Amino acid sequence: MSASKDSKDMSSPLWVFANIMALSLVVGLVGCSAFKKVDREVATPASFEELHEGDIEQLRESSPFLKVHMQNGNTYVLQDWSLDAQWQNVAGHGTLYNANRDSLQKGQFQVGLDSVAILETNTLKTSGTVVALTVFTGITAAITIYCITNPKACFGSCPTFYVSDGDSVRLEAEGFSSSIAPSLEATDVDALFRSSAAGKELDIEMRNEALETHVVRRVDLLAVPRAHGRRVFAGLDGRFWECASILPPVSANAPEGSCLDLLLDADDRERYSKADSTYLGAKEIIELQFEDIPRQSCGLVIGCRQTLLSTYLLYQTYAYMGNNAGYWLAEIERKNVKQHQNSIQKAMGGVEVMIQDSIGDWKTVNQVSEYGPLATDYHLVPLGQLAGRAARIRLIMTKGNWRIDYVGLAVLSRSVNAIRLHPRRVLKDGLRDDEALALLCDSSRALTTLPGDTYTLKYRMPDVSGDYELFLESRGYYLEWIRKEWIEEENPFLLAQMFLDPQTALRRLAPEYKRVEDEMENCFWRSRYARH
Amino acid sequence: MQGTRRLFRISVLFMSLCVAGCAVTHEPEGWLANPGAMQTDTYGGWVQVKLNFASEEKAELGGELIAIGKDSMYIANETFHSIAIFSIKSAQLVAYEPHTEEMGGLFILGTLSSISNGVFLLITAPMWIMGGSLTTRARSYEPIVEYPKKELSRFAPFARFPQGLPAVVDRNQMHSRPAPAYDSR
Repeated sequence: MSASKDSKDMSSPLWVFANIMALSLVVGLVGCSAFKKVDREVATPASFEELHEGDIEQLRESSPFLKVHMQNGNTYVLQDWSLDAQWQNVAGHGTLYNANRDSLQKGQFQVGLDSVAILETNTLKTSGTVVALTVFTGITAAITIYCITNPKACFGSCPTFYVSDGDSVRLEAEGFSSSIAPSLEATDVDALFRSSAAGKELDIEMRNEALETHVVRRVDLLAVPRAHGRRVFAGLDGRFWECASILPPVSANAPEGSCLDLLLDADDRERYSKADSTYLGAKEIIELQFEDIPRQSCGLVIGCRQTLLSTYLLYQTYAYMGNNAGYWLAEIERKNVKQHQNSIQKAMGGVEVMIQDSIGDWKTVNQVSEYGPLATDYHLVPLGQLAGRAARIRLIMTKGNWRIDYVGLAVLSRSVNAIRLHPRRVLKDGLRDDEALALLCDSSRALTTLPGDTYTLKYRMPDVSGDYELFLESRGYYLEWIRKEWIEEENPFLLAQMFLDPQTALRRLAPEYKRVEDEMENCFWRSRYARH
Repeated sequence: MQGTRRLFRISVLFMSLCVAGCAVTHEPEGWLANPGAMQTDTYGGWVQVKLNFASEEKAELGGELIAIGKDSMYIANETFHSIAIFSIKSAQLVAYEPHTEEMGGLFILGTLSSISNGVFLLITAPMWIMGGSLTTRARSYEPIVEYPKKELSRFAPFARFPQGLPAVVDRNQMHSRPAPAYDSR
């Protein structure tokens, strides 16, 4: 678990200093006249006389020298030039050259326009190429400064899975986000909510887009048969539920007001809030109301993903571990740091679902606590048969920690079983990779991927004519590469505070997080490790 | 990191192709005026002419553009040449020194500066290599006017005598800009 040599050395202060010096040199040189573009204009005295005083003034500013070409081939090069009041003579200080360009005379001249053949001005303009150079320099400088000031917004989080939705390939799932060490290896089931198997085969692209080592034990497709027009969701009870219908909420009230419009459709228009400025663990409530509920078992469907607050806190924890990150992760492996001691994670919590009972008390039903900031996942929280025709449900979550895309009350029709499909072929960089296939199909072994790796996993559907809801089951863990900038923040005291006194840590970190919160999302996605 | 190496190779290949596509000019090294000196320079630009009806050794001619007349182009190198316009197959005028090599050097410096960008290097390095190659190529063409793509009248402002060849000028005494001449920026 260490930074790659390249990323470690190249982001050192010496390199950054050299980088800034190089960029300063580029900026300094692009400004010099050698890279200007020359805009030359020639005009006869007659057309020159038609100019207004304002035009002449403007011309004199852009072209401080005027070349006066005489009919006999001589040329005056005049500085501080001007036209007299009658517009008959041009005057200025300069040099007179003959036709062979020998210098004849220097001094103050006044030349009658009637003996002039052509007047010439030369304006130096910024070349388009210099503009491009300046833009490139600006981008590189901005990234350099950004990497110095905000190293915790870099892209991270487990394997990403891309599937075609019929029109384009989109990010549909992220695997085992909270499995940051071998002992935390876990199985993750993600709904491929927008994907469908239109033919015999389904391709899923698995990418490693972060500075992480991914150890992937398996990636299986779970195809759940469904009746035509119905949807199936993965319940928090570990079962798959087919839904007869899904009722939209009639109201959804958040602290900022109604957010109903954002929650009605799974359309990537998400409801989210900013973190609290004094305590990152502060909670907020969204209250939902459903009506016309049939007397059947129901479940709340929630489509959500995390913001980058959790990623920030994870990276901050690594930063406090610093050079001892390896030691602390080994302690996790040795079970000397228990998972339940991850108090920060507990303090942040998931999306808690509460329902109001018939006497008006609020009861906690369950909690959606799947982590990951990349892909929206869809969860079903089984509620059983509700008491009345209407229901009030609360979602309680940490402010600024969750993005909610969709909620609906699913009327459950039956529990259904999934058909497990192993990948039948694996391609890496477009070429068949039987070794990777063997690793993914053998539960005692695992496929290890590095930043930039992309695998295409090909699955064969069990029945072409069948209608299936698709889920992706991935198992494994990942190792974050410790960045040089993080190591510089090593602090055992603050690390201990993260584990032992998370409330204080979340108060202390609030101002620092608020400083970068607005920029984090953009920076995070821009820093994705891609090689295409 | 096979993909990274491939990206690098593609970028370098792209750069090579673009550099190979830069404008080729024929003036002696150091002959052209710098852009900053164009405001006071009284000589013409360098013109390279290919002729239609000439023997092989006389098929191409280069020198300072003295003037463009109604029927003739006047060029000076060691001697003065009067060329009938109808005999010109193609011509290239280079008005000033674009400093393409120096600009290429800045792009190499920019590429090197992206090394400390961490994973962003995957964006910034190809940006410098590819963008730099394209803009260097574009820069090499900035001071150039080519016939027959453009009319010969577009050459005239960059002639020593933009007004045309003065009648009183002694053609036998006419000589071109001393070469190499300029290094004033």
